Amino acid sequence: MTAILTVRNVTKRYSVIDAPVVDGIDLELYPGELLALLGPSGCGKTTVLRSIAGFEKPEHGDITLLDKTMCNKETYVRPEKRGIGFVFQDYALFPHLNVEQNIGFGLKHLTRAKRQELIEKALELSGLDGLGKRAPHELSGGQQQRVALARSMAPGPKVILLDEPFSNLDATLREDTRKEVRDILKRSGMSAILVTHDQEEALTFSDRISVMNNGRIEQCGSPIDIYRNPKTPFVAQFLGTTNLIHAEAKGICAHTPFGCMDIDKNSNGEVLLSVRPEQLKIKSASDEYESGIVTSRKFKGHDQYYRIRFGNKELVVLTDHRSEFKEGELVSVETTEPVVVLEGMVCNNAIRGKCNARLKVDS
Amino acid sequence: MGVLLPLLYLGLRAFESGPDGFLDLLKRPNNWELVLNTLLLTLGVLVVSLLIALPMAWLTTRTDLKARRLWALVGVLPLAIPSYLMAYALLSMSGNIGVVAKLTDWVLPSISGYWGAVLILSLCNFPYLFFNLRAAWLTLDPALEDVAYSLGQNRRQIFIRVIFPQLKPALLSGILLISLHVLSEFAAVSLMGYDTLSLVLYTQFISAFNRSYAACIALILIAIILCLLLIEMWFLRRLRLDKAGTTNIRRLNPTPLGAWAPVAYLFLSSILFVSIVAPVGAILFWASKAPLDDLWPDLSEALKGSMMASVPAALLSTALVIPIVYMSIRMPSRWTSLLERSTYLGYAVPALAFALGLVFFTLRLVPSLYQTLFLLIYGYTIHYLAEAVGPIRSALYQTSPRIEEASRSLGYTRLQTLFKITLPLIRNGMLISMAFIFLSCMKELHLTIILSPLGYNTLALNVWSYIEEAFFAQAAPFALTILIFSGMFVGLLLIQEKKYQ
Repeated sequence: MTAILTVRNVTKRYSVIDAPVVDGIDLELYPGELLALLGPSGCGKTTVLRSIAGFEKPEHGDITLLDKTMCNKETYVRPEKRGIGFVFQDYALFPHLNVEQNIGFGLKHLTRAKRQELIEKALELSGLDGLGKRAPHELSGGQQQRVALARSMAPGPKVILLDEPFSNLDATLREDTRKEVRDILKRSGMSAILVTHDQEEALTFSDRISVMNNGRIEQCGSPIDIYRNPKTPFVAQFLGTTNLIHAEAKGICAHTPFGCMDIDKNSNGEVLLSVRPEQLKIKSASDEYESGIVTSRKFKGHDQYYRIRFGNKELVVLTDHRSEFKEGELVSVETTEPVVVLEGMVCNNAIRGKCNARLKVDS
Repeated sequence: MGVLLPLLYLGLRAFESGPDGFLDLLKRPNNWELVLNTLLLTLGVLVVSLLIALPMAWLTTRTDLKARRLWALVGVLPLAIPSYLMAYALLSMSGNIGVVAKLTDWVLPSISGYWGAVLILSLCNFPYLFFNLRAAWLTLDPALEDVAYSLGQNRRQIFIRVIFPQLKPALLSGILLISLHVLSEFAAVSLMGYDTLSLVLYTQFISAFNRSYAACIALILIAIILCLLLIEMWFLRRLRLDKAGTTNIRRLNPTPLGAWAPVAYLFLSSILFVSIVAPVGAILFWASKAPLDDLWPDLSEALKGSMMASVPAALLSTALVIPIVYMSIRMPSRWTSLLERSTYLGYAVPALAFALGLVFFTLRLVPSLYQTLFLLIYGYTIHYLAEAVGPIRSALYQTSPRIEEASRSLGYTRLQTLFKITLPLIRNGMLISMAFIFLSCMKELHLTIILSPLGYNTLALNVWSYIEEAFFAQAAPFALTILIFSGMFVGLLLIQEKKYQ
């Protein structure tokens, strides 16, 4: 399958002296796909989105939409000529126009009848029937959100870009709206990129996730793949909770301060492991295993978190609600499946000090 | 450019007879006397204005005075009385044929000379200091005063060491505004018979006695204003008054006036009486005495004349300001902010000097424009450009650039977006700008006198020509009409201020 949108080596800096906010980004978007651009605030994800839309001019790099160059060294297609829809964080509905006029705004080239027909269709698709004559300020947050989406979809763009579209909604509304928006996009077979800093949103909304940090993409893959097989400590920590552990690997086994653990690939020498709390099991201490002390227990109902200290290192373990270990109790832990060896973190002794300084080890 | 070119021609005209000629003009002994007169007048007006405005601002913000907001109105309303009307009203009250003499058998001594000019100009200019000081006092964090008390300072020390430094920017901008007005004033000083630079400028020009000399005086005037601006900048450098910390400003317990309350009320009432009740009363009195036959055609012609210049000026200046403000907000750079600042030039240059420069400029380059309505409209437009900036600026600030980007992503170019989205959204700001400029132009006298075509009539010109010959009753209907327009101006100003509080 060929990508509908490709971004190659896009770099952008806001001033000559500063480090680039976007530093050589590559992206592909395939037809009908929902891609999430996930990262902490200030990582440059919104700048990538605005560059694709044409609101920002990248310093260099190519952006291609359906084999047409949008932006490279020689060309720069203006935003109004790109045919890309954009949904803003604050929706940016035109306050002086009603819902219908907002949705019909991008359909100026059509006849009145055709325009009305498309507006009706968009209203129905977004579940906004009967609200066409309302002014934007008379709508709830979720409704405004759907008008913004309907407006950007009405002219039939090839791609829709959504910039943190759910962050202005309160928590209860957010989940429902997310599902509605996802359904609308999927039903119309739209390709879209969603920018978010909310990992849960990225995991539930998208088909594929690109995790961004410091202006670069650290990893790209399906939500399951990224959660299960993070490649860098940043990705492992940003999606879910994890224990980062320095270990000495020998084949498919690694020696850690918490005992031996099975690892997912054959390695030798010093490695960095990412161990999810739910990949660990607690059992009563015995002589065969290293033992640690339970330092805290956080009971959350459906499940519970334990913190267990081994020497000066601590592990976070997630168990179901049934386990009963008390604070101060001596216990051992074991893994329930092979754990992930993070890439590029195999340090030899020479650069070990540097490695240690850079990584936040042991959660 | 619209301001600088005429000024350049002012210079050319002054140097017409060569540098020596210019020096001769400059060295006239009379000049130094004029400069001294002008500065003394400015100083006098500043001192008296401060004596009125400072206690008023304090009384209406920090004390247990009853109806503080209403009294605050007293400090703003005199703005509705242009200085030439104030002079006319107060002049027409005193003397043998004055209002007081006609109503009672007591003759109020005629006001004139230096003190007359100081009184009149202070009464119509103190509001500039008052509303600046009041606004500053309202945003002053009372916690700072509490801290100072807890550090063992007494009331006087606190005023000098804590409050006064924080009022400094407001004080300076008030002083600057008042100085600009006093420096360019000729109508009131002319009625008081007190010679200043502006008055001589006017008489030299009107009598066509020596236009090079007029140009020279205009340059001296501009030099004084330049010095003022530099002094203000020097005072304001490195001034930092932000609040460190994030607590909200809390209301301070008002200072009880106690036994001083009657004095405070007496003070405020007498200001109310002298600056508003008396002048308005005088104008109403003369209006009742006005000869009514033939009044209506004259009045409607003057009204038409005022409108025909004011309406186009309001439209033109708003249209000019929109792109300037749009660029300075949406494409911020050193150039665009400089462009926005330059709109204040027209305001800072004394109206007479600016008008004179404009006359020389047109006479030399496009003589066909001289003595046309167009020139008057142009003069109004440039002079009042700055008044249009504020409302449009704040309207544009409330419009998110995201909304414009949304329109771009829906296939509209930047220009289409401007017309379809931005302009409709800042419509209210545009209307307010137009209203401000329209109302300002309706009462304008200085530019009108010099720039209006021969035989052209406006409200202000009518008032002026009647009162110059002491036809108080004939002037009244025109004065009353102006009063209505400038009253609306102040009303609009108050509504606008309220919106931001």
